[in-house]
Amino acid sequence: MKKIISLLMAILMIATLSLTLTSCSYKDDVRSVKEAGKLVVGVTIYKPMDYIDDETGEWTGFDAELAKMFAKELGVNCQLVIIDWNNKVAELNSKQIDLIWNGMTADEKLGKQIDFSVSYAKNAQVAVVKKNSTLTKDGIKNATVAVENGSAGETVARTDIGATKLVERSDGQVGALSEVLAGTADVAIIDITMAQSVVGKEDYSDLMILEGVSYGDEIFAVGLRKDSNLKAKLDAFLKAKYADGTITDLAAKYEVGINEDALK
Amino acid sequence: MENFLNVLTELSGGFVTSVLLFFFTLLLSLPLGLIISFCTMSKFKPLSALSKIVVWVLRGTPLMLQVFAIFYLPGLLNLFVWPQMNTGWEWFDTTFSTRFIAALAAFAINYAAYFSEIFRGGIQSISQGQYEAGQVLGMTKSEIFFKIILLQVVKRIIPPMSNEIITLIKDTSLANTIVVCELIFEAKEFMLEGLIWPLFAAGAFYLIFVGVLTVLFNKAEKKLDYFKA
Amino acid sequence: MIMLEIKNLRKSFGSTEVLKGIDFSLEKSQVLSIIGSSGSGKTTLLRCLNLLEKADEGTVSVNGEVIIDAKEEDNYTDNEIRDKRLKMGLVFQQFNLFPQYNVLDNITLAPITRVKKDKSLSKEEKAERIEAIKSEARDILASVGLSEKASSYPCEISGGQQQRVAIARALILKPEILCFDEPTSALDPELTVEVLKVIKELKTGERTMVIVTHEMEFAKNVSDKVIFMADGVIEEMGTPEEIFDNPKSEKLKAFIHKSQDNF
Repeated sequence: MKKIISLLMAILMIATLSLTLTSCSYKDDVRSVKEAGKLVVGVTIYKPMDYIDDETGEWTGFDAELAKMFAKELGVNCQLVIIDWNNKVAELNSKQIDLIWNGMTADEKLGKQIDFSVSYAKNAQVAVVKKNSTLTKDGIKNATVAVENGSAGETVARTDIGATKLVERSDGQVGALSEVLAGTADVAIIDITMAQSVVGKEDYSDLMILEGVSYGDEIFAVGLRKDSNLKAKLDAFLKAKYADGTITDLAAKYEVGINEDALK
Repeated sequence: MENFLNVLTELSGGFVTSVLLFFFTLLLSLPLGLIISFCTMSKFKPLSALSKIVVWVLRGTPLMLQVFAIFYLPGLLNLFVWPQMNTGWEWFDTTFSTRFIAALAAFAINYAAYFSEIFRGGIQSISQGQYEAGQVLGMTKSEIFFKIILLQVVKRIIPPMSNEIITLIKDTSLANTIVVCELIFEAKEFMLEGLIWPLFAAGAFYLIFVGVLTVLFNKAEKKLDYFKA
Repeated sequence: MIMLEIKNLRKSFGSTEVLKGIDFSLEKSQVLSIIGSSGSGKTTLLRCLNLLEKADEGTVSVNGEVIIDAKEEDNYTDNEIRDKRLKMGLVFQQFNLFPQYNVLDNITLAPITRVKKDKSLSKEEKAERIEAIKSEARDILASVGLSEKASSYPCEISGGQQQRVAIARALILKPEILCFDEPTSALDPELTVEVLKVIKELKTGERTMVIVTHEMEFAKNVSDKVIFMADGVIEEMGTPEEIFDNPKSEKLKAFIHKSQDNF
């Protein structure tokens, strides 16, 4: 028994040690990206930030276009990889991807795990209901609220709204929408950018955005590994692209609200 | 109509990935399971104890977690990063991506653990007399196993094995934890475009495949009906 | 000429001593019956002779050659054990036929397997030998009266027929000594007769046989020598007349009395 315990202790110590080593090691991401010849960007399909154009079959979107430009500036290829949003930190820290660039809300909690670039866009959360719904802003608190697990919408639903009946979907914000569509939830709290791009179309034509209801001022940023030396390059890139009007043009094209204060 | 065909094409692509994952998992886990079952039954105590612990861990933790661990842990512990396939043949590189290989490894090991217990049960249920009859006829251990014991074991384990194998085809959907573009993953992609029905269409793919498997297992069972073991 | 010689054979399972020093010998072409109540050690003795159990002490010689020396038994290689086993044949109480093979294949499986892996033989020679084995198997099958069952599976024939197949399976390997472990104990009385008849017919050949049995009448008729075992020792040994008609020890008298009561 003693032997087993000491063996387990040894394994734990080795594991801890290697984790410590990981967090201490300086991350020369610029070099490793250049050596690999490609910048791997973790995304999900998320209109209008990152999505695949039906006609060309190529990645496009506000974030996708910026990511491609950034890779070009580094002199490497840009590879957009679909990830499971729940695993974004694991994907980043296990070096499967170099950046998370996917309309990601930069909040304090996530900031403890990873670094953020300068914020380049802003977002808010809105409520989506069925077209014939009589739900009001005050009623949301007691309604069944569908959100994406781990999303900004979930934070809003819990803190700003104080909702008690939560349905948490792990398969994206559309998962939350399908709950409303199926009548298993009364309202979904999702990103305004997402809501504007799908609600009222195709299978979601029965849905609408509840007017005059908006929560949380979120800022969007690109996610990087802690202490990554890519951050300086990325920040400079974003600011330059704002200064020359590129970001402003893209924002108009994709209907995204940019974070002018941060980019100045 | 065009939309319908488009969905079916995409789902078929995902289904191919699911089926490839299924077949390669079987291909690896069946022999691996047999090896583990021999280790578990070994008279060399440290070996049997070790393999029992391995089986316990593999059966005692969620498969999804094992998939996750195999793919991310090496990178998180700074050991190594799974390399990308790079043969230049695009279909091959995307189908047998690192993510696919990592999922395959997790599936093969996990299912080998389950299979090993079924094999062990089957092998231990064969009477000692069958081994002894082979021994007194001057047959070697491996001759006895492969010529006398194995087919009797196969006959006995077909029902539990068909259960596990049918579970496997549906478990392949767990590979989407690390974004292997299998059937369910492809179906969910359509939800982003506002289409929900492809998810149910995906169910039909599984149903048909399981139907074929069921017929095959029934045939195998019938084929071994000629003797009692 | 002495065919089988056993000296001081001992065997324990844990702290229970099952064989407490067995000594006897058997002439060529003789039939030995071993009788005794359950737990007297007779089956263990037979299993030691066939190397299914490792003896703790003692030696077994066949035809003047020591095949088992308990001191050496741990060092025997798998090949050696196989060769030693082939000097003996064993017919089990539970027949132990291979259920997935038909009657003919049950008999030919072991010899054909041996031919197939013999690297010194060419493809043609192998085919020839296999044919020879098959035809010999048919002859043996005819001699146990089962010609018409060659392609039946074990589950399709009676227990008595299965045991006759098991005897044929042992015969084809031409063992120097053929052992029977209670060959009729798992059979209904009406099926016992046919099996005993076959064993009796084997005696007409030059075969040396060791038969562990509960069939007293059979032992009396067929044996040249009878051993009565009790509590792991040979309590009495002699001709059938000496054992059955003039038992000396009290244990043997009681045993014979009891077995007569059963009829």
